[in-house]
Amino acid sequence: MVASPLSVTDRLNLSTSITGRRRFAVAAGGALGAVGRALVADIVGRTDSDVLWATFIVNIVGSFILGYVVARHAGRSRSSPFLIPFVGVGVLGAFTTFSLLSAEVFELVRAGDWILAIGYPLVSIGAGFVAALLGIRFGGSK
Amino acid sequence: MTWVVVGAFGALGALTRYGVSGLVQRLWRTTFPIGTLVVNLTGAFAAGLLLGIATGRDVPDLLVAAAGVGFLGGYSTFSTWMVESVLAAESGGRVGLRRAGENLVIPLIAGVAVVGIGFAIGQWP
Repeated sequence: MVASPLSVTDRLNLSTSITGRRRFAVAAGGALGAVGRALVADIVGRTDSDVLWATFIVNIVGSFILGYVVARHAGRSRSSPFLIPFVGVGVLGAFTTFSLLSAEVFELVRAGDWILAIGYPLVSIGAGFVAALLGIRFGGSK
Repeated sequence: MTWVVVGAFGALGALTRYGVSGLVQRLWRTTFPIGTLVVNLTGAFAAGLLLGIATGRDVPDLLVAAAGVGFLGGYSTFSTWMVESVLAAESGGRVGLRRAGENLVIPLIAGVAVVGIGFAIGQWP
């Protein structure tokens, strides 16, 4: 196995012996995460401008929780081996989205809304980074 | 009905991400979190393609729900990208911070670019 200190994939030991049960945990979590994201979009994203808020909320909340879960449970022998595949890879991976964010920024560029086209992604990655950092800090503390 | 479709295709998307990201990371000998990058950029390209096909054409809502909201939403991920960026920053000193900065900015710009390429192809003809 290639040592990759920066990769969650390797840190979570996902690249060795992917079992059927782990795959099932990822799929089940993925279904829940995708439906959860669509629910938030349904509740928050009623108008075109609110759609950005829906994506922003799922991405920031998801980054915080993933940071917490990774810091608390990744590589811990006491934690269930299915917890990270289910909650981390499945639920939170599917709850948050990169493709929608990129597509939204592209639409803002196409509409000529340069302030939002530059501001929205920058605020998203800034807030997402801080959220993940806070999650890791909270998850790592006793 | 739509919820069931979103859930089923979300499961499929997450499962595909699990496979692709693990495979790419193993094949590519780098400390850069390349698995997540490949997943996100292919997902963004496909989203652009779908957007290009759907713009100005009559595409069934259920297809958008299945392919866009379900599969591509479940396939691409923001949270893993963020956590990997924090871990890069924490890997040490100036080098770590530079890596984190690269891992934040490069996918962001590349993501919008590949959406544009996908969109142009989807609009054709």
